[in-house]
Amino acid sequence: MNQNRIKNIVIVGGGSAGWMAAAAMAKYLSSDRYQISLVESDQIGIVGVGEATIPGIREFNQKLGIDENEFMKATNATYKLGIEFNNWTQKGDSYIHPFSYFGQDMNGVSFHDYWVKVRQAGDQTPLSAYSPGYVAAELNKFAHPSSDPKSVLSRYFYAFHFDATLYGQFLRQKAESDGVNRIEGKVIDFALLDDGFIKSIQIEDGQEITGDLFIDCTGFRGLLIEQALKTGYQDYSQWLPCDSAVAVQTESVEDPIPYTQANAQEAGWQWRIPLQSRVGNGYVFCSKYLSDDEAIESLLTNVNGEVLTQPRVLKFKTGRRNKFWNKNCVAVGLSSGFLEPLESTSIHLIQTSIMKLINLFPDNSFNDALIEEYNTQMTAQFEQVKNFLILHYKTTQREETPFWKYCKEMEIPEDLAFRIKLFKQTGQIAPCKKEIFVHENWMAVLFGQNLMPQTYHPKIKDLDANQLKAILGQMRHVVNQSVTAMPSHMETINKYCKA
Amino acid sequence: MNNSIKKIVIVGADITGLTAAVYLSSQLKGMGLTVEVLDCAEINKPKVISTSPQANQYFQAMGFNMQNMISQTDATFSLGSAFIGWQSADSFAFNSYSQPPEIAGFFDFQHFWVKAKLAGTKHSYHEYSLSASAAKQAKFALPSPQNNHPLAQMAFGINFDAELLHEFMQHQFSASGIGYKKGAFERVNFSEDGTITSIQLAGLDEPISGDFFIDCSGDQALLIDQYKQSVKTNPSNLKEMRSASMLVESKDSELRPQQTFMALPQGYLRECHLQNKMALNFVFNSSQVSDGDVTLGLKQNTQNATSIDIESNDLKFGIRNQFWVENCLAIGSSAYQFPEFDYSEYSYVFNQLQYLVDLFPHAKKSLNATVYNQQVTADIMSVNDFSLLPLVLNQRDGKFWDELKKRPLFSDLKHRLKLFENSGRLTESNDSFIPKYMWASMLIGQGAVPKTYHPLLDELGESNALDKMRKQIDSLIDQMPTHKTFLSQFCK
Repeated sequence: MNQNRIKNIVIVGGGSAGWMAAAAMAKYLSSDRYQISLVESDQIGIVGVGEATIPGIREFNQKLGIDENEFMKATNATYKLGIEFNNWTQKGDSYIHPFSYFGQDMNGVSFHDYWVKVRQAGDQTPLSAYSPGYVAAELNKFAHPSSDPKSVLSRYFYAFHFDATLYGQFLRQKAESDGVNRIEGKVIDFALLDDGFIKSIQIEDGQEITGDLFIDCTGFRGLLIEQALKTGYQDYSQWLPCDSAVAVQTESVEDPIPYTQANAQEAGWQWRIPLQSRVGNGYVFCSKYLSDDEAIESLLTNVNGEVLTQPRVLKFKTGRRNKFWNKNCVAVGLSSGFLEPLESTSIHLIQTSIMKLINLFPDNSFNDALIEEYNTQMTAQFEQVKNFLILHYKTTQREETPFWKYCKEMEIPEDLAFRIKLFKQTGQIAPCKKEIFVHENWMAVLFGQNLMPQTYHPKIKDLDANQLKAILGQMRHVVNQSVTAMPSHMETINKYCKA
Repeated sequence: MNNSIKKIVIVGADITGLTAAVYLSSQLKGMGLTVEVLDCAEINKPKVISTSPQANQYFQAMGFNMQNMISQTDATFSLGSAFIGWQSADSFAFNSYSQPPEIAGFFDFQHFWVKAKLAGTKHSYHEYSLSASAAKQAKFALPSPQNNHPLAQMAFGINFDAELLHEFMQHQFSASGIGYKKGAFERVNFSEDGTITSIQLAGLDEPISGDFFIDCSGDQALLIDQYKQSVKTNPSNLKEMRSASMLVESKDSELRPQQTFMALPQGYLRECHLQNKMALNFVFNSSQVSDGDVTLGLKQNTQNATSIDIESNDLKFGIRNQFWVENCLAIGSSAYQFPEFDYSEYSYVFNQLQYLVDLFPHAKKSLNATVYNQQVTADIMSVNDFSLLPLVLNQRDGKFWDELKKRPLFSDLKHRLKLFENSGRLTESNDSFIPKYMWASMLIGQGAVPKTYHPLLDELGESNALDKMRKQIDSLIDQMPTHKTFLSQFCK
């Protein structure tokens, strides 16, 4: 038995981040050896970010032993096959970034090279026709992927749209039954030890709560990571200038679609997240080009169905903490940084923070190397998402508003600029090892944003184009036939997880 | 595609050049490419070449029959590397190429062992390795094709007689109809845009022109050295190192499937058994010992009466900052030289070739070169770090060893070491080439034993999994043939 182990973990703040952290800690740490407390106040509202997710959420839920259907019922959830981007390159343009493969790589050459080749030979079939996830989304269909690796229906993934508040409650129930001690109270102060480590926090009723390890889930405030430890922040706003969002919920007027929508607007973009009984909507915008009132007005004009909530405005600064783990404090969720939800990464970054913390779980010596390793890994995660988001803005062709003109002309990080240039010139997608967004994701968005490589892999230059067209035609046929036989999204919801 | 690559010229006809020619012709067929090899470089010839497990898939991709290859090259199998005397005069460690089994949860194997060790077990890390135990008893079996079989994780490399491997490759090369010219190297001709246009060999009227040039000329670096922007640096600062090699009659009756690295007072000796011979290779510091003394020492060591041919050469350790410049690519020792333990330069040649296939350029100048250079740099730096570990972590006395101990560590390696020693955890940055379990066994074998294990391991409760493992290893090894028997069956 490790004598120097941590015994007392204090999670500060509820919300999605707090309860995800609590549920995971309670799953991996037994309550007879570890005391896990979560301090939250009913007086403080939660931001409830990330109602749309990416497929990694399924792994997180599985690790926690959560039954998928039960979770979906409890959170008003729908299935999600991807994100539709409208009006990003030009007004009227539309594409889906599906959680899915496109076609089949052959002979060690990526499928997109073959597609570019037949396209140069006059074939006008869109890339989307080869993606089972994309086609299913377009047809408003959903079925769980096949477990048979030979089936084309094994070649897509899915995530969820859910009510983040309900997800928090669902996890709270689980965490509390696994022994997490919830303490109601507003944190008003903190105390540091001589070495700068956090000793305790104090809540309104005067109670002092001590801990070995503190997990800061206090949202934008960063009560411990910033106010107590002065960790500092890296600002990304030169590349991602949006700094505000306004959100409303509306009633569903149609069956939910199995994908998120992100519609480019005058000075930002509008999300639409369909749950079973309502729809989450929001406008992410840049206050330099649009006032809050203008944003609210724009949002209300562009939603369908009865508006169920008052429009709520959020202000944020895109970027990340200099360190995610500082001394005995780990920031999880919005306290660690903010990246707009364009690719639905908020929940993913939370679960990544938590799983990495479990993997690199310290003892009371809080070894520097462990902390450095955690920070290096998390920094890479944020930087990758940052670059992927910038890609959507930088590759716009829109110039009709000052916001889009700025985005089109802005300087971008060198590594991203190289990726784009490489793709245009050679068709290569630079390798993305261990990244959140991999080959297929970059492919979807690069092509989706209307970038077209000049050429394709030289290995296939002498292939007979007509023969290739026939092979690709067969692939399309299989995708089409298989997807057509799928049930509708609503049928699958009704069968498995009707709320 | 008017500017496309139609002809590849490979400079150097040793094993690296021939392998490049055969591999590229097999993987790029259908592109209408011509490949030509120029036999024009003086290249140090090793006595034995060892490959790590990842090379096997490339042999297969070239259509080689493993049985033919093994029997024609006097080759033996290798389950890993034994390190003798690196920590103390009689210390023993084994780096296995095989992944340890998963025991429970998400914990890497070393955590279970560290926990057992802190609880008082006397069993060394390598005693829980099937490969290490098999190697010690000179036994061998091929990996099981069944996924859940305990032998499924067995991974093996191969030790080849270098001359016979060269012959084998020469044979494949001749059969493939690839062009070949021989002559002394005279000069490289460039076009105004900095790309190479042709190579002039002595005695040939016409220079040999091409679109893409591969430098396999070993440490002569005939082509890549023409480019000032490709600089070879010596990040590990290993200088004046020299190697002396010889082949002797095998005297042992048993044949261990491994390479052995023995730390001796003035350097280290690599011992590698082939089917009928044994290769010895002594690495020393030329400012400390003379070739004559080393020769004498080696001869005494082998007690072999017959005349022995000993070859010595300088080890010019270093790594280029760019491997691919314009239309010129350096492969093998023209690009990098690092101390060879579990990974050899020849093994990595295949990775370099496959990256070239993946990133094959559309024209003489290509942005793909940048991606290529990034990938190879990341891989080679991690191999180099890995290979430095036994040298810098040695606990031996004497001038040779003391100097190595003083070598400063790069921040990456320093972090890796500190993280491992303090927490048993392995860094996830830049470790794509060397698997984590190889780092774990190398670190533990070289004395960097974690002070503690993953705190959450205690959540699993007590378990006798480790005892079971050792029992299972014993019973599996009982059923294995000896390496010798296996080889004689395999090569029939």
